[in-house]
Amino acid sequence: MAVIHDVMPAYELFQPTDVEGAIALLNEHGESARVLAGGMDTWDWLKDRTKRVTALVDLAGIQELREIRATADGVDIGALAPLSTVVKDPEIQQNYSVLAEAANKVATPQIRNQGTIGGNVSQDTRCWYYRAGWPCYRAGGNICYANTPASLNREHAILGADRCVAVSPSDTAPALIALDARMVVQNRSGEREIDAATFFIGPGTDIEQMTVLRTGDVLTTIRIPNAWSGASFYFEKVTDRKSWDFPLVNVASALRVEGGVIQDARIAVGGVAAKPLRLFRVEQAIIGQPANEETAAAAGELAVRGAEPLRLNGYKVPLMRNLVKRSIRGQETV
Amino acid sequence: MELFRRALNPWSQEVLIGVSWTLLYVAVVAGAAFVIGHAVYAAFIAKKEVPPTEEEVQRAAPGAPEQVERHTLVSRISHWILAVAVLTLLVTGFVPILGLKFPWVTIHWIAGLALAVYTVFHTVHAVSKRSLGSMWISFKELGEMWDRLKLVTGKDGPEPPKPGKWATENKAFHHLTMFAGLAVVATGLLMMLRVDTIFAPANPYILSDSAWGMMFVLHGLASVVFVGAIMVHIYFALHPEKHWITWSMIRGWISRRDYAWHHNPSRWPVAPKSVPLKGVKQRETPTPSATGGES
Amino acid sequence: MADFKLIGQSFAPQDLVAKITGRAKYAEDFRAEGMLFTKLLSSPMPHCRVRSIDYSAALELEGVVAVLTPDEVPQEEHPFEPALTNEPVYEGEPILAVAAVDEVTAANAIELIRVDYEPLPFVLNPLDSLRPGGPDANTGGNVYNGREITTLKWDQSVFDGVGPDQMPIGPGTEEDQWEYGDLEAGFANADLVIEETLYCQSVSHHPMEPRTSMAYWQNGKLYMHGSAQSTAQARRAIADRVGVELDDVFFIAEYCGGGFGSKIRGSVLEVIPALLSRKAGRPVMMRITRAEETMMGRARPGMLGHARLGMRRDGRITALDLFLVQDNGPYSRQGDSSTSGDVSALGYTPEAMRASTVSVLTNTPPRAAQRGPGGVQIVSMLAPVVSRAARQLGVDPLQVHLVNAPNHETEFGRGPYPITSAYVTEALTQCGELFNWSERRQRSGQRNGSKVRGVGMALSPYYGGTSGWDGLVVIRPDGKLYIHQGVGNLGTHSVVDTAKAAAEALDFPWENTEVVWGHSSRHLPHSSSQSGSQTTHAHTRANWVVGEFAKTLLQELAALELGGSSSAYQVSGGRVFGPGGSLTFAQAAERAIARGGKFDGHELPEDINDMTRTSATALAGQGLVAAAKDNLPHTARTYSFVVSMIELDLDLETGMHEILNVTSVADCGTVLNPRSLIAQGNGGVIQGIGIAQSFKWAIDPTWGVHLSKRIEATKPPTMLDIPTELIFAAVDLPDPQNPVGSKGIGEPPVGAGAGALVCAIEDAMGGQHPSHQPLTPDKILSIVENDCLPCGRLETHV
Repeated sequence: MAVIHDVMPAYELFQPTDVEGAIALLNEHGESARVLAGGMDTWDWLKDRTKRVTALVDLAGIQELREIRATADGVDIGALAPLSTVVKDPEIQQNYSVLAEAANKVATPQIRNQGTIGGNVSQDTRCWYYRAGWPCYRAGGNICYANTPASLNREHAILGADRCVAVSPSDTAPALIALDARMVVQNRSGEREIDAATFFIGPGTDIEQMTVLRTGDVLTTIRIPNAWSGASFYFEKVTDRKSWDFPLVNVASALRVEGGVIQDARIAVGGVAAKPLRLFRVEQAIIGQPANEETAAAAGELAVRGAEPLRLNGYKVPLMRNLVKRSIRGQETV
Repeated sequence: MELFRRALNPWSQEVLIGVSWTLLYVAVVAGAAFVIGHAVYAAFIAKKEVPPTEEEVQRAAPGAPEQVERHTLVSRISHWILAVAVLTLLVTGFVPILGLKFPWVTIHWIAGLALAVYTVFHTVHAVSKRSLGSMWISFKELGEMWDRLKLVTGKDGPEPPKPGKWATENKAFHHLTMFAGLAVVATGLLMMLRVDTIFAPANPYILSDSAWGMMFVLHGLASVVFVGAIMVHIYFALHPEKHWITWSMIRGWISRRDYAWHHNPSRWPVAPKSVPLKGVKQRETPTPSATGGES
Repeated sequence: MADFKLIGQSFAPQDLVAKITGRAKYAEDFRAEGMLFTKLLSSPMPHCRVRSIDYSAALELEGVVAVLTPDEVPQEEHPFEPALTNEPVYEGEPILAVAAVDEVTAANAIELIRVDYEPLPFVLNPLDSLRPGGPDANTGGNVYNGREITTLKWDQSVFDGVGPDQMPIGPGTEEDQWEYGDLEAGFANADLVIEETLYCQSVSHHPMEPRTSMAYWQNGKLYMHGSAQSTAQARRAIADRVGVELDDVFFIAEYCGGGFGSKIRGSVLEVIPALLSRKAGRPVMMRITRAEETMMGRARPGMLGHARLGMRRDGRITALDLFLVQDNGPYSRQGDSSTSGDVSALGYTPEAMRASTVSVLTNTPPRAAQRGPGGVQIVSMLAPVVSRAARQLGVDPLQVHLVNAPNHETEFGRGPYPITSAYVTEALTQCGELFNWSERRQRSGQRNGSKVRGVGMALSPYYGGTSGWDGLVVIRPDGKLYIHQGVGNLGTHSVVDTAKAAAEALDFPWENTEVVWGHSSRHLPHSSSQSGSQTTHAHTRANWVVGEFAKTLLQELAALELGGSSSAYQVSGGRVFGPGGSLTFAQAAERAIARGGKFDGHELPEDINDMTRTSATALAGQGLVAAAKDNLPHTARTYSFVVSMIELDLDLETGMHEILNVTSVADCGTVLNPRSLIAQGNGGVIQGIGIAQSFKWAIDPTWGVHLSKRIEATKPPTMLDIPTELIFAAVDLPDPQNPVGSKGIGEPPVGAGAGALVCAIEDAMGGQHPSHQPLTPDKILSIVENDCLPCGRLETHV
């Protein structure tokens, strides 16, 4: 049968007004349903007819999911909060600025108005072979088109690959990991909280999924604890152009430094593996070390140990090394 | 029922990408049906065999030692390595398909390599010991198998003679797993080229789409055959009537009584001085029919 | 400078409010009774043959009305491009069209079609096709010489001993080779001879509006709503492509959401709704999606090449030996590579030069001229070579450009061709002052942490205009001046700006002027397309000429009506006046109608084009009708020039750059409309920066399938890539061969922007730069870390 892309097919749209309603709909329709948040990822898939649904459950009508609330222990961000709202939120700007900065680097102002933080962390990978509808591992097939001697894999993984070499495209994900955020997920059996670093999964765990979310799950809230409130933060994203670009590599860090010595640290990197990587090994290595160029340089080297570049993405090794270094010593210092 | 999984390649051409995993369930159901069928038969229908008396044993195998060697140490070690490899392959290959996801690929290809090494070793071993003939199923054996089948199904007929070292059913199982094994090993080794391994970076373009399709189909078919076959194999290993065989795969020998009971000493003569248990080095004059070919 | 009232003033063009408020209707916005939508079945392979096709299930789907197949569409011999084909030569080429009541139904119907394709050998990189035994993009061959397809294979010896990153240099096609001067003496006289492998990528045009069109038939006449860079030329092209008489085609395209050269004469795809509508007996709308636009829209041909350049210690370029292989795409031959030779000959005026090029067919999306075709590629490839040579000799790049600058007397290239004017020294000097070149240049190479400062510049010459077109104006009894324009409304404002020449010639107030354009039933003259930067020059001339002619008619009419000699009458402010009194334009229009003959269009000049004659005849009797052909002398080639200078910070740890300032100065003759010029100039500079920075294609080498069909992946520059310090100015000195002094300006800014960015990065990297556009962070970092590119230097579409 012939293939045509880029024409939105018909589907049934549901617009529940509460989470329970959404979950009921998702269970009713099972695999043939999909959750719709901002649509910045979903509509692409549907329009290209590469993923098909008969029902789309639109969460936009669930008001509580759009809100950002300060709590005693930090801040709760509704998963449907538009990225531009996250950017502008005073509490986030004040105490968790790494997230505001990361959210502000997503795509374009228009997409930040439409796209949600929940969607940004749950979005599928941008591997162009996969998104073109080619029957790769991630699409249920048994080949990775991005990892062959001739593939165009400039954007692909240098770490944690397992057959599939796609990467995590999210900008907010590393920032959330650096903040020890927790993902609140609801389904018909109740609510559970998942650590941001374990919310994301690699192809070894499940080659067809980017996160632990499964049919019937709704990511409702992103919970930021106050553990890192007001820490020394860093976010940087490297792209080909100034906007509307997914990261080649991005980095987020949170440091507690006292008397020039690093007391505690969180560092996460995106765009290098199928999930945003929290660099546990690097964090351990720099705690107790002076926050200086030498520590930063050593951390950069440590971060890329074990990297296995593909044909066209060898540059990601020095790039990740440099970004991790900068996430510790800052950009401007010499 | 759809037998194959298909996909549209980047040129919108339909290509095979493997067998339908429904076949896995078919294999499980077939294996289970056989197991249940046999268990019922063994428990309720089959005439209980009475073990021979000491006298009968003495009469049937007068020169046989107390412990008759059935599997050499090398054979036993390789059997268990094989068992671990095959079980690992089945678990790592099929469990993710059943829904439990884990990083299986590296373990799978390492186990597959073990299977491949075993296959090579076993072939070299069998050839060097000139024991290929021991697994040959003769027309006579086929006739005996037919007679036995008639008896089992309640028809009249002559009681077939007992087998030599290897029952025809053992040989048939060997051939089934041999062909399935060669298929998975050959296709599996090629499929290692599709992923990054320590030997080579991934290159799925070494073969054409359609050739790969056949590889995946063959690998999948052979694998589901294994599922059914291993189910039956394990069933027999655990069945009380076959414990003497299972023990022999651990200890290496069978008792003189089992030797006389289940085998035809004229078809599997053993030397009286044969000393069991200490393994291959101590065996002095292995007859072609007394070595190799098992498992 | 001449004393003009309208020329040189900033105006808001008449269509601006409609565009900004969204009232402007583009092709996609029209609806007609019973209108169907069509969707296309396109080739999944880069080159194949359709063995069989079964669309019976599609036709049975409810809502499907008709199917159009290649057999029902005019098929011409390759390399002419059919609208539908059974032998696609690029992925995404349309094979069949389905018309249905809506797009979803049409798309669902496409999914029911069964096609059996026979894959054919394909080629993506022109060098692969030149190898002995290499694949051909077309079953007929791999090179189109302008008349027929032939096969060109280089001898194996050309490739022997040439490393994977070195350009093999074989014979070019015969008609594409020329040289002047003594090349070897030039190199011998040089203090430095520098050689470089050249590479420039292919990039899509990607105008905002895709090539959507809608067609219906009434009483045997075709009405076509489309998107084109010309009304007059597109209408003729539609008639030819569909196979009907010119008079049976009405083309409606008041607004065009950009074209950049991809819609010069509309689009071949317009045939599909036209013929499908005739077959279905209902109007048919064909909306082209962005992904389809990537494939079926047009693209700039990429180039691979080699340059050998000799420079004297004072910066003078003594010799240039240029070899280029063009990635032509599957269809008609592109002039880019040939233009590249002209542009480098004019921009650097080498004492001796040789150019040799070959354009090779590839199974990649079809090419067309793209804003500065050939110029952008060669400036962005050659400018860094010049910059590197200057560095090695210790000469300032601005000095190099001044030493080599063309002037009015320059005769350049293979002709040698004289030019009408070149205020290049003035432009270089003015730009240097505006940019503060000498001060900024001091900062070149300065380190600030991981950042290093780069300052670069480039000069981009480009064709600035044609001549010989027609003008058509009517002064009606309402007292207004109606200026008819057959050019399109591309968005450059030139449809309005060039009309001002007629009003200027008549010294007529602009507020009483109506520009008539965009609908072929509105009686348009034979006009150029808005391409090749010709409109400004061509139609200020044509409109000036027709304005002058209208003035003569008014003077003669006044003399007849009021007495006295015609030369005693003057025309100004909407009146003609003289010794016998005066007439308003309204009165003059009435008298012209009354007198008839040459005054109201019943008698027309002999030399005007038939299209103009038809239009003027239709208008005859409606007022004072003047139609005239531009017969003003045009004795040399008209060229415009833009020089751009860029200062940036390049971060060696990330490969990203931050542009601090872009300053450009144009020699485009007299400025018509300063505000339009700045928009046009900066737009071009940014487009060029985008090409050098991030704009690209990605085509999988194994499958030949395009992976960057969406803008998100193909990465043109965005609004936020525009530097905050962005200056565009002009020398504003008149060209002697244009009555208002103007030359075109559409194209040269693109090459200047691209070249200046590449040179600024080259400068920041101390001469060690990727030479492989676009200069994305991966390439910069790979050079910094390993001194090599991640991909091959001659690897295309990567």
